[in-house]
Amino acid sequence: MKRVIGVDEIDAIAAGGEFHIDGNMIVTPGARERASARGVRLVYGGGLRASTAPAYRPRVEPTALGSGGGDVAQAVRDVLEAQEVRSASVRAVITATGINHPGIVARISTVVSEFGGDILEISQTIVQDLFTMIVIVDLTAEYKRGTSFKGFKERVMTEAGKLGIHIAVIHEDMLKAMHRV
Amino acid sequence: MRFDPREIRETIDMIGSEHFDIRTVTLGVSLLDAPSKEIDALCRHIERKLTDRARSLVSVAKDAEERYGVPITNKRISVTPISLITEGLPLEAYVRVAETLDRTAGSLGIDYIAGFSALTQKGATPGDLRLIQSLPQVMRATRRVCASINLASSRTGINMDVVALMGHVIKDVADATRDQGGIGCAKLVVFSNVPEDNPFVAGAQHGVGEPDTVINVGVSGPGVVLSAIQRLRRMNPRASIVEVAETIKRMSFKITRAGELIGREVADRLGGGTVFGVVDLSLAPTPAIGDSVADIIEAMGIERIGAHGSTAALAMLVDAVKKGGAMASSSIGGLSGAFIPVSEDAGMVRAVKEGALSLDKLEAMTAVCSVGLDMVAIPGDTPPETIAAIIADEMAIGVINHKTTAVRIIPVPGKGVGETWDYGGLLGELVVMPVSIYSSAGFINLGGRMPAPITSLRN
Repeated sequence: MKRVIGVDEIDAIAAGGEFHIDGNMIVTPGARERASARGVRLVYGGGLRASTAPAYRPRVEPTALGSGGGDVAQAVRDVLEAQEVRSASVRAVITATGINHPGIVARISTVVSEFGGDILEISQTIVQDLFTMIVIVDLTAEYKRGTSFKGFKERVMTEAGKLGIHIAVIHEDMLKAMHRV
Repeated sequence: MRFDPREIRETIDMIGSEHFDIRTVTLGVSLLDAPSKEIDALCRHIERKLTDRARSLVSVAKDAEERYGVPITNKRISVTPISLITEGLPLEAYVRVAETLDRTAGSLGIDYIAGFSALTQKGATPGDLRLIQSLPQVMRATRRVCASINLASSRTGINMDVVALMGHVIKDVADATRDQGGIGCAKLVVFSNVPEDNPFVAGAQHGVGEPDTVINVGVSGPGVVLSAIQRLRRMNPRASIVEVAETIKRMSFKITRAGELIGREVADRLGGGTVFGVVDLSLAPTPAIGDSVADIIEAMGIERIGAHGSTAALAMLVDAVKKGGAMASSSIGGLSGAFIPVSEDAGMVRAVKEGALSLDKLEAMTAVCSVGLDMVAIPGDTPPETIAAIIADEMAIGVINHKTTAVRIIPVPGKGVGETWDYGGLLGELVVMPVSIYSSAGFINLGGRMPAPITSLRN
């Protein structure tokens, strides 16, 4: 959703100030005229990547929350940060099936830990000698450091080949998209 | 968020054994910004713009494919209907533009580039006619270029002059590509009510109401729906049509969600102002066994597609697909429904070979499917007026029912009824179907514009 910048937004800026415009904003002709009349500089930037630009969120400056900011401002920052982390969470669902033999769980969890992943949940059953396992791995921390999901998947698949079992790695977003309204 | 092991299993099955794929990620690119009509400058502009916008399309799509584990079968580009850009230029310019499109798509690793199109529903400009005239040459000279001509709409009626012309042009295109079984006709489609955001070829185009660049996604998934229906009927042999419809809706929801996830990701990563447009949730079959719309109809209890009841079963299928998709996403567009291309669907091919499916039944089914007579082979010696009349019938169904209909028909050079030609790949195997032996020439030669229906007066 684009945000329309009208005359009111320009008037809120002190004369001679700057107004930053990113790809998610549309400036009305009236706002442009007002900006030039009041000497407000329109600064274009932030690229044209409209769909990737973060949704507009008013900046909460510490000063806006009373004198000195203090605990409340910090709390607001924490909440905002926590939201960002949550929305960027990267989790993988690994399922493994095959003939049971010693060392499957050990090998998979070694790969996960080598990759800096965190095993959130693991369930495993053996019916006769058929082995099935579902592991949910949190890759958020590593992802932030620039490791790719693709790389992780390739590593796990290589390991599966060596173990002689069938493994599937699914991005959590795919499951969420398909199975949650 | 916790997931049920059954949900995880289902997702793995959909991707692994039920042929679930994203049929196409199509990048729509506007060419309305061509700064010049001087032919060299125009071709340079087309090449530069397409290269700039689509440079990373293939690698980005590949990344998304690996990340989410769903194969993306084709990467395609659609452009502004070319007739809007080349109006006023001589015939050679059309061929030059087509060759530029083909070469650029090739160098970018794009499978098909569509939008070599003209809009003639109310009348044809000299440029539209030149584009149509250039088609045999263009189809011989290019591999990836797809063409479409809009001949009719519910607001304007049917342009019978161009319908008649297309009867001849389709034969000429078949002849121009006769050494490949008339494959040019597989990349040429005529429409009524052409959608502006359809990602599927041959009919894709980047309409004039679209943004500069946009990603549209076409999902596939007949195999997924088929497996779900088979599972339902195994678990509950007494399931009624309501339960079947419900099952289709659920699967359609999931397919659509996966399509939107991938479409948004690709649009995001392409950057440069490219936005996500729509998911076209058409069930698009492939010649792979089990990835067939015909099989879905047969799984509902019709012995062979084409038998009585096929139209009703298809109507329910298309409606349930739309309902599930509309619930899943607010960005549904394009054709959205179920395709019934004959050669591209192993179940349809089988039905034709066994004499279960006739052209007449197929036409009836197009009244309720999402497009029209698609990938139908007819004898090479069919008179042009008969081809035009087949088109006119299909256009009438679209115009009166306010739906998109299309005809992609191949008069296979040198082949008669029952003979076959295998294109291989997604295009599949043609089996020549009989057409009426009686002439429609008198009607087609009336010409003119068939008036818009009374339902066009809606304001």
